[in-house]
Amino acid sequence: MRDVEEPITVDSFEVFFKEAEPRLHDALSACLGGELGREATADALAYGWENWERVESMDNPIGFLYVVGRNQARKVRRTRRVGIPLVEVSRLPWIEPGLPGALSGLPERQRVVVTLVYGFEWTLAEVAELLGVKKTTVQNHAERGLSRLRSNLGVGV
Amino acid sequence: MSTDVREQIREMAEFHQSNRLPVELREVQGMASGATKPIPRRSLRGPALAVAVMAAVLVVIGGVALLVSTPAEAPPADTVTPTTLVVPTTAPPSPSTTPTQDSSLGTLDLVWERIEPDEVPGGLGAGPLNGMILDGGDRFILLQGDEGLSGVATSFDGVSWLTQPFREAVGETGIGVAWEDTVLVAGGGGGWSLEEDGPVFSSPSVVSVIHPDGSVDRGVLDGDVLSAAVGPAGMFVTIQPHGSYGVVIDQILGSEFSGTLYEAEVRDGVLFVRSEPDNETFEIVLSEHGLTEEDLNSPVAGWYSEDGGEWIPAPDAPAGIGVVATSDGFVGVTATTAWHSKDGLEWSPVGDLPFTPDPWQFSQRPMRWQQGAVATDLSSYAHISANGIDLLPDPPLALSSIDQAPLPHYLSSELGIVIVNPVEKELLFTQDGETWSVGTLPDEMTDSWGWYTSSGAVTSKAVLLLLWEEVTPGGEQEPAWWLGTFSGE
Repeated sequence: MRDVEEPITVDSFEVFFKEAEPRLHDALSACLGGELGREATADALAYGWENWERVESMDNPIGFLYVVGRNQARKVRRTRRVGIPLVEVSRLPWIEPGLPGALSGLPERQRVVVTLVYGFEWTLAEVAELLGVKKTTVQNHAERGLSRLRSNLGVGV
Repeated sequence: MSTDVREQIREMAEFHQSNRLPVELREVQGMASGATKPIPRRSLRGPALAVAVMAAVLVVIGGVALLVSTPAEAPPADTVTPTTLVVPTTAPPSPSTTPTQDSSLGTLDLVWERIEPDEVPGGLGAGPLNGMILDGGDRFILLQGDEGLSGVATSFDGVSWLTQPFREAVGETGIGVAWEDTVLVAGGGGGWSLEEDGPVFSSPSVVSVIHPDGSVDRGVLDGDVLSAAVGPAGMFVTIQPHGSYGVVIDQILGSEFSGTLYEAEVRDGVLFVRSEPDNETFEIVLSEHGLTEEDLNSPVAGWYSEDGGEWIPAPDAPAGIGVVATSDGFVGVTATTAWHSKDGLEWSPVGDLPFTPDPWQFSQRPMRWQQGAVATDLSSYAHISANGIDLLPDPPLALSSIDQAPLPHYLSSELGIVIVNPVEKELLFTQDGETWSVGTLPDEMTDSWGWYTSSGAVTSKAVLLLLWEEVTPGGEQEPAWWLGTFSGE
């Protein structure tokens, strides 16, 4: 762990931070919901700051910190419901009222993939890299998740 | 609103992005220094970091199996006599609906051995893994092959293996289940509907049943196989249907259609088909084959087969269930409800689950245990049978670590449940769901534990694990095989 009194590689972390914050914020919000997603993003990046030497050397540091943030949130889940919603739908009156609930009801992996692909418009490859899975796996989760959403909302496939 | 489930998700995401409060660099640095909110670090430091990143892996007892040295000549399977585990036993399970935290804890002695890649049966230890380990009820089932599956190896102890080549190769596999020496594997399927990635298409899944003599029955089902089960009552698969294009194309065009289905559309009673990568097109006049357009739109969520020779639609099966075969039929689990069927065709709800599993995920699929099944969301566990749902007491030591790592994966069998927890370097085992024993995992195993999905299983004599080991921290990972033998054997 980094000793905060020591000189630190601020520049390289700052560069990483600028790229990673929006990505992690998207991903962890998709996984955990808006409020907890932000907290998890901060936790994950704080972990990255403290352990920057190690994290910097990783092939996929954003994917790694996504796992860190998600797991931190799971601890919180013991006292607070994780996940939902991405936004308060009351602020978007034109949105189908059942959509946030249906989205929240998806299995985690499907919820994350559907939200990142269709919502935040990540490419399949970007999601695959984040999750450490094949692109075809992302495709399957996206399709199944969307199908389940449509089924739960009673709209045509 | 159909366009618009996707469109509305995008609008929600845009609103979120434009209104959310970004995390600031100084905020993060302040948290790390403890100025505002120190982050918990106990199990994320030092050598345990890679372990934490990776996950607690749950292995269930029963049939696992993976690794193991291959004798120059595999002894006959009947020379291996399963013995009883040397662990505390208690009365048959009488799970309480009120979880308790004071489960008794015994000591489990395991002798661990790392299996070298060239000792893994079928040459599976080296190179890309193209096989899988299955629970055969009382034995390890290891499917073998280079390109596709070509054989099966069976062992009770992970040391002595009996191999049986298939009479024909089995292609791509995504899901595999076994019961004694009968194996079911399913592959193919898939479909995509994201407009920018191409037109809507669907592909059939192929369900192959390999019998003990190596003969193979092959069934073609439309859609993705989500879950599969094989047991004394027969076989069942859960399908996410795409329509019936794939099956019709397979039945009518057969080997004439050799590419991948890229596009299928019905216009005026004619099914137009296009393949990739060769861009071949076909036109099938449905009436010439006794079909109507309605036949292409009658999705069935479940299929049953007695022996793999013929598959029967099960229109009453609940959609999207994760299934497992039990001694008296099948158990199915959705995110909210447990189901039971004696014959795979008629399904009855058993009750509402006290937690929310994701039964499609490998790590949370229901598995056979105690003449029924065990379901989990990886925090809580429940025993499911035709008689109802019993919530089990929480495992005694694993919970805190499970929370710190990617969700665990587990396997189980009639013999019990095993939790492999790399964060705490321990293995937990229970036969009855109440009395647990704990064993130690070697540092060499846990210190380089990668974060790809690991798997494993247990028989009455041994635990077999296929792990992913980090070659570089957070980077490349390679498979590592471990065999833990229960002492006293």
